[in-house]
Amino acid sequence: MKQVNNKTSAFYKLQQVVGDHHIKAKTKFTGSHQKAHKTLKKHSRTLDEIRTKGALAASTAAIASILATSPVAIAENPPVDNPENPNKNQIKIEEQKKDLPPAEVPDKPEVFAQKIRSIIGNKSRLSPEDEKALGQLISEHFGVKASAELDGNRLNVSYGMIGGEQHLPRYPGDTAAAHYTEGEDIYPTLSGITPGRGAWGYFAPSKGALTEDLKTTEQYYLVGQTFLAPGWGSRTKELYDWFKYRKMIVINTNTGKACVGELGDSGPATWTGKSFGGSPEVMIHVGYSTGSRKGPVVMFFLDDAENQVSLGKIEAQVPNTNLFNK
Amino acid sequence: MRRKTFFSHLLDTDQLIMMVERLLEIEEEKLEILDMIDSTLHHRVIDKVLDELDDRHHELFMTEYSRDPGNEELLYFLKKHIPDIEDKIQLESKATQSSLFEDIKKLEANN
Repeated sequence: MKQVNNKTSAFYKLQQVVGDHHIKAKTKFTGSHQKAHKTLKKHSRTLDEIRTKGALAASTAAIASILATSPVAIAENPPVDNPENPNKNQIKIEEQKKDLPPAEVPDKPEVFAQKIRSIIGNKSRLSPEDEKALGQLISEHFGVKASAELDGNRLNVSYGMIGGEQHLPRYPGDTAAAHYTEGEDIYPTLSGITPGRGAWGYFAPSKGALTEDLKTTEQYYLVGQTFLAPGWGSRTKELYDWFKYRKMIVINTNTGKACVGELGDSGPATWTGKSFGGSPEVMIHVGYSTGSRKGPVVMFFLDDAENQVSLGKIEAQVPNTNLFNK
Repeated sequence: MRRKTFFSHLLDTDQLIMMVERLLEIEEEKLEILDMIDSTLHHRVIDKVLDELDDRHHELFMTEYSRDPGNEELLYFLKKHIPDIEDKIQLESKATQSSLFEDIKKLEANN
């Protein structure tokens, strides 16, 4: 891509195309729903401010709770703006507000990344205390159970460079083209396929035996240096089995972008300077799919015996503000 | 870049994100374009919700939405009035994304 001033020409072209849609969407909204637009103005907010800034600090779920339980009553009794003359519903809302903590809003990815980096500091290797603090931060942010060590097992490092990998052959005779699904992005397919199998062999003995779960496992496979894991020399077979398809979360420490995957191969070689690897899809989700296709990440195990966490992109958990029994 | 809204889970933007990731190399540029896409989808979805929701509920809905866009109760409220609102939001999102996707593809083809 050629540079034009500070930005690339590809950017300017995309900006024109997407900008056109953007302006049309905004014009349509303000044109069709002028009253709604005025309501927002009254609260000194635009749709974009709501989208990017989230909840107001003092917001509670109380109003929506009442709306949800008695919409008709509310519709006949709209809230009054005059604070000296509130209606009954508003009084009820204010009473409920007193008992409620302010609504929590998850950190933006960049803020989350900043918190990660403040724990890592300028260290190249994390201490057990750092890993504990990171595990807690990651767990709270995503609503998962993340840790650098699980069942007494761990990789050699939990922080390091990740590099983009090719696809793995899932069954004998598998090809890069076979990884492409119509309607999906072609980029991961273009990444190619490794000539050899992963550390745990083929995912299935034949194309017909490849289940959707195994397909997804390969799609979001991760690579760790299992051969450098503590205890590998004395418990090789045990650890080999334990690491197979072990669920982990990988987080870009620059941006906070994250993806959940499963260990599908062992590597990279130590001379590469990298500690982890990710499938083409993983690299897209953590934001290292272009350029040198590598960058710093933290990679932690997920304790997910119930298989509640899906593979793929993961975003911050939104606290449940439900106030009534559904 | 964006906060969770009550409809975030209904929008699958992976394909567009991947396309932008592929076309742009600089993180700052990617974020700017993705932010514009997000804003477009946001406006389209809220526009659709208001199209479907009875006028008398608009002010209350927008008031609460502006206070806390991530409040899950909003979706329950909407479902009471528009039982298939989730499908409608998804369809609106898909149509918007599809239109964006096609235009970006045309841009690629012309290069």
